[in-house]
Amino acid sequence: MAEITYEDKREAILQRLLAVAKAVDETFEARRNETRLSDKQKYVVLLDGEETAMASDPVTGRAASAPRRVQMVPEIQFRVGAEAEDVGTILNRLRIRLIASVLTDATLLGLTVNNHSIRYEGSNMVAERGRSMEGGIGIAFTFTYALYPGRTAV
Amino acid sequence: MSVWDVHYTALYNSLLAVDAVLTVACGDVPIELRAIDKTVPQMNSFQGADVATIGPAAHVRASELAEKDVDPDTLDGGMLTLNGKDWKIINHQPIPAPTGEAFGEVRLSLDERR
Repeated sequence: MAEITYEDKREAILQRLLAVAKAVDETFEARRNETRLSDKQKYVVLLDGEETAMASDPVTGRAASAPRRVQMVPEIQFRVGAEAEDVGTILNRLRIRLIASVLTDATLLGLTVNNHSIRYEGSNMVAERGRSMEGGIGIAFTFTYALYPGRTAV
Repeated sequence: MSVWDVHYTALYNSLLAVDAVLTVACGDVPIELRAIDKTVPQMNSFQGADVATIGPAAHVRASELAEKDVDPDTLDGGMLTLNGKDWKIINHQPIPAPTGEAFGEVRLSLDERR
């Protein structure tokens, strides 16, 4: 018997998010949930992050399989090694391009509630000296989407 | 000459040290000296995606710098050619011998030129 494939907007959003992040600069190698990277390559990494059903959803008296609005906070990290005086500028450029790309991507927006429920949450930059100055910037977004338990994929 | 001078001389004349070339400032005459490669592996933490890298460093003798009229304060920003690679000197730190700083080593923190 064939396995039932359920609609999964979380996975669809994450896959699309990594594709959008990769397109910001094609010279970066895309990875997902990779926790150990080499300093020999530039990387863009998707960290899936958590999802939480919204507490404000009306649940009392409704079926267990009633739809929920879910908020997910994945993070995109860019990692690059450069000279100390350049690394911040490089990472900020990637950050601002990613923010613009994500918040205007029709496919991502279309997967969210009312086709507009993506919010930029913030970023955090870290630099440590290694072979050269190794810098990373993590950029987080909140995606709010509808979860329909038991709905099969089209 | 103290026993420590004998120790450092033997160490820097041994296979543990290599010939290196130090250029303190652009346009200066390069200086040949002995250096010990102290590069070590390290992990840099990026809160989720850590990076396996190295901490490049080298040691040279403080007495050899003095012999060749190199003021340690001028080392930062200079270039060290070591084992076939050019490195920029980011900073330096004295590692004194038991007989004092002038008889010990100087640790050079390096940055790979890309």
